[in-house]
Amino acid sequence: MRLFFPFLATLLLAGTAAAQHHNHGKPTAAPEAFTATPAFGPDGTLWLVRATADKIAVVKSTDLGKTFSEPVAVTPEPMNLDWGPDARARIAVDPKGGVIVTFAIFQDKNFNGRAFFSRSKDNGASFTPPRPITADKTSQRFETAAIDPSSGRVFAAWLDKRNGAKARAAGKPYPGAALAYAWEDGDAGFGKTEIAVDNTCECCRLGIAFAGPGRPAIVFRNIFPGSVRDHAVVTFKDTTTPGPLRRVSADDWKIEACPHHGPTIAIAPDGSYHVAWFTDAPSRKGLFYARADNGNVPFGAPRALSSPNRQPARPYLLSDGQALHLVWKEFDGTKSVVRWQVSRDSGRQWTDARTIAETADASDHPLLVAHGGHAYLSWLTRVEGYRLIPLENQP
Amino acid sequence: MKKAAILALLLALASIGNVHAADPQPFERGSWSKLMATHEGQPTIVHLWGLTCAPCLTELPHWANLQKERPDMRLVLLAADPVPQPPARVEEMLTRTGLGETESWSFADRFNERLRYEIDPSWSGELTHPDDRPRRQGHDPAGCCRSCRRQSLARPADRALKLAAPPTISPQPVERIKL
Repeated sequence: MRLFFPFLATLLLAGTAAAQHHNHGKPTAAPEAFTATPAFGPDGTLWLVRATADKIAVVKSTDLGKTFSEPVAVTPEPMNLDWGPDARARIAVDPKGGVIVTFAIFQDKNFNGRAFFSRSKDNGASFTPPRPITADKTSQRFETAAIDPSSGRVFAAWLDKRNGAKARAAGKPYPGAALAYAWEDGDAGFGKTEIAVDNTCECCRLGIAFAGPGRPAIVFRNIFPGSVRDHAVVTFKDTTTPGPLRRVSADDWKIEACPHHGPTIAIAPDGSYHVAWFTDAPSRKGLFYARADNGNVPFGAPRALSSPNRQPARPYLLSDGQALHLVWKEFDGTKSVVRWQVSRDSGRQWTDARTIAETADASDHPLLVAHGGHAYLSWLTRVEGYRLIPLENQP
Repeated sequence: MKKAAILALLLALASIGNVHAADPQPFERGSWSKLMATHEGQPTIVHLWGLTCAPCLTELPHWANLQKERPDMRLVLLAADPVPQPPARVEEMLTRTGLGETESWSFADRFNERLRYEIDPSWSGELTHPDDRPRRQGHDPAGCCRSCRRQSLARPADRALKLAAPPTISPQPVERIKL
């Protein structure tokens, strides 16, 4: 009877082939991306990039989101877009009004990605055919473009698998992915790709802010020794020199899987750093916020943003020049709500959290965007559609 | 041995004739209480997994083996991917793993906060909890391998998780996730 099980296993494998044949022709459409990402242009135009099933389009609004232009396609033909819960098409507008859109596709069933960018030099009337951000084809995901406010130059960072593939080929272990970056290099696109940090978590969105001219700061979920997936910040010393890795907090969340839940960063005009993140460690669960006086000192003690039984998720921080804003999502048993806190003293004291929007169905991450000293919540929900909600006028 | 071979042959014929496992049932708002009611009073394992969770896929064959070793074990598979997956792909994976005939559900609502809340209000959606191993071993029928799932943390399932003699599966190295 002992022999029976291997035999049965063989038969089951034979059955698999038959089952696959049976499935042939059955619709297996990829899950749909459901995101809207905003950016303000220098003239106060609100730009929005929308990802749907297999295409990406850009719309714009000159009346703060009340009405939008006709969509302009970024993807000329259908693409297998990255629909992961932390992935999104992104848009950035430089000080001269040049627009860049970034997004990723899945190359295969193993979730290897390919990151693309597309530009518009004619105020969004048309977009260039999408081109890969980097020549290496291994895998790139969670690409994030940010404009250096001092120069208008585009900086892009993403999670890259090339070093993992190289290590495996050499028979060496390589946990996670690498934090890669490249700077815009004229009309040719992006310059040489460099690796800033090896062995980061491979599945969480990044946050980027600028610490000074040519000095991006990136927050990401790192892999610390022992499969601990806590957060770290790397601040560049100059455009091509990533500084040391600064741990945001020691949550000690040991997990050998993908949280799909990335952090957020803001740097205030006084140089202070602000980070919010999700963790599910035994001793610390939910969303947390921490600040540091500058780029060289450790982060202070984490502050919990919500009770973990309200599913707090998707934090987002923004410095609008005068105030720091922090939003996140919670679920109250029936509805998803967006909670908002504001600080006017560099993150030392915060207002009580208040609900500024809600929905009773699926929703995108809540995002923040600012123009001319005014901050807004940007939120796509299935029932209500897209909303741009001013934060100052909340009761 | 002859008997076994004949039985295997019969099974082979049966499997060729009936290779099409049922699509997973759509797991929507209210499905959790329906599922719990169906298995009320019966010791049942509800195994939460996901197509987009590589360690879960590594682990699935162990559940198939366990099912074979313990035909008396009531097993329900629930694919709890954060973004709903095409039912045909869920079905294909389970069939390939030898779990095609097992009762199966799959998240079918993008409003996954709601679905998770119905299962466990404090569940943030993670499918692997290596750190929970020590406090789980007491009641987990699976033994428990390192990548055991939320099912033992969900309160309703906790009540259901009682099997007379826990069988064991030996811990297997779990591959790093790709997503």
